[in-house]
Amino acid sequence: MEKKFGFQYPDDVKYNVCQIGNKVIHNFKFTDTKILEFMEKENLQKIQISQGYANCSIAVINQNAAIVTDSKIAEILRNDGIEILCLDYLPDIKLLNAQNEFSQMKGFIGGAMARIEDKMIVFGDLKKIDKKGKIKDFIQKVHLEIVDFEGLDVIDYGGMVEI
Amino acid sequence: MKYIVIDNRMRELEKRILRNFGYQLIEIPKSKQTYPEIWSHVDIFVCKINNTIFSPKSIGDTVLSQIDFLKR
Repeated sequence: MEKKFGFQYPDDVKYNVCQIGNKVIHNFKFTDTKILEFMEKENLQKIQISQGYANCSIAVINQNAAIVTDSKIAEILRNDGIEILCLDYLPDIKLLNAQNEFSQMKGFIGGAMARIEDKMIVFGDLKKIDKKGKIKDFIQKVHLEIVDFEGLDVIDYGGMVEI
Repeated sequence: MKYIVIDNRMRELEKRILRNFGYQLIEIPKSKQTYPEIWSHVDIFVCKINNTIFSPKSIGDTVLSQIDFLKR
C-alpha cells in the first residue's frame, strides 16, 4: 500500500532519502514506493539506517564523502567504505518557526549545507558551526570551494536540489 | 539555464548569491502538510536519485509544474 505523506514523523520522511555515489541511505520502511522501485531498477546499493531523516542528517560532499553528527550513522557509512567526518559536538544549526524566527528545535547538518558544482554552500557563517576547523579541512581536502555568509547564523533549509 | 530548488525562507543574500552563480530559483512555499520548521524544506519535498526527481503532489501546483516541466 502506498505510504501517505503526512504531518508527523515518519509520514514526513518518504522523500528524505540520501544518495552518495551509487549508494542510497534511508530507513527503507518509510521510503516512497516509487523511489524504492526506481532504486531497484537502477541497481543502487541500499544502506539501511534507523533514522528516517537521512538526507537531513548527512551532508554529502562528493561521491564518497560526507559529514554527519550521529556516530551510529558514521559507523554504518564507514563500514560501506564512505569517508566520513563525524562531528563530536552538536553544531548550533537553526530552524525557522512559523513566525520565521529561530525555533527551539535544532537543525541538521545535511540541511545546513549543499553541494553545487565545485562549491559547498553553507547557509550561514561556517565558523559558527566549525569548532576546530575540521569541516573546512574536510571540504578543502577534496578541492571544493566553500561559500558561506560571514556573521550569519547557520540555518537548516533542508539543503537544495539542482535540476 | 540552470535551476535550483530552495526553501522560500532562504535569506535574500543567499538567494542573490545563487542567482549570481547563474541559477534560476524554484522556491518551495510553506505547506500545511507538515510542521513549520520543515514546511518548505527541500529535502522533505524533493528527492533526487540519479538525476531523477521525486516529489509529492502536496508540494504545490506551481512548484510541481515547474519541476515537471524541467524533467522533460
